[in-house]
Amino acid sequence: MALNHTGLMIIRTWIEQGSSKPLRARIRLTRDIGTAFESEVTLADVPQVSAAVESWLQDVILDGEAP
Amino acid sequence: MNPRNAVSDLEVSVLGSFSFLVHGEPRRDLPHGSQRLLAFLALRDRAVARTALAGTLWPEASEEHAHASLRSALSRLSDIDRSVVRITLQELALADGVFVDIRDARLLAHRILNPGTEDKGDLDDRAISTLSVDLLPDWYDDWAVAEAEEWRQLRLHALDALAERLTANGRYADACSAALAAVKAEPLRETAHAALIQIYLAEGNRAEALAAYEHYRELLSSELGLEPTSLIQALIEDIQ
Repeated sequence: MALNHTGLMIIRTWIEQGSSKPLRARIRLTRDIGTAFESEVTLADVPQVSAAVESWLQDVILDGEAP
Repeated sequence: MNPRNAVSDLEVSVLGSFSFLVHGEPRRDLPHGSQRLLAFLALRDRAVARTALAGTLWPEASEEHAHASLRSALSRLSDIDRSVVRITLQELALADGVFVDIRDARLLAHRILNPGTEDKGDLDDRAISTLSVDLLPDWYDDWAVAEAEEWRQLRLHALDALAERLTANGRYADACSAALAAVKAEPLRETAHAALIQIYLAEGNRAEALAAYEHYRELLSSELGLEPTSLIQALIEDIQ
């Protein structure tokens, strides 16, 4: 049975009133909570945030499939 | 009475990292399950039902195994250490008189956010250092992450208010420290940068105000490709 890794992504959002792109999404993520958070990034676009979530999920799947 | 000033034989700390002190001596060999139990109780101001406690701390275990894990976490505390927990048949809580840093810190933050409720000493360096620390930053349990985010929001707002209060009192250096702590916690949050610029302007330091604005503008541009809002631009319009 494969080792059971648990990933974690935290997306903290807020709105900067008056900005041309008011969304701020601070993302902290790890593919395995056995390690520390691997990266942090702030994004201002919904599609970018969606892409970050998708990319992280793909990484989690790949890690789960690794021997 | 401020709990921080009370002499407490038992202390549970969750700010920065977990620690459990008995008579001032840290218990370094406490098993992780026992640490999680004490941290969870420290974050609650009231007794917690055993079932809720076991289910929250061991969410992926069966009810039977979660209760067994809870009993194990308790049994692995020494007799002296166990006095930190008030145990009944149905509930657990931290014993009365145990000092808990986050409870003290939350009270401090709320006093700062509610003018007129401050204690003497709330506006000192200790407040800035207390409000600069994250809660259990390396813990990933659902309950710990939620508590950490809640504390983060509270401390950011309290740092904003503290910077404003210190500026009004003419304590510009301390106000800068509070604003910089807020910037460090969330580097792309405009409110904190605006507070810093306003402090420099209040003390008549236009060069630093402009430098702070430029720093934020460059950061925002490099990270997100955006310009600062008109609200923060208006702060430095007259001195550019």
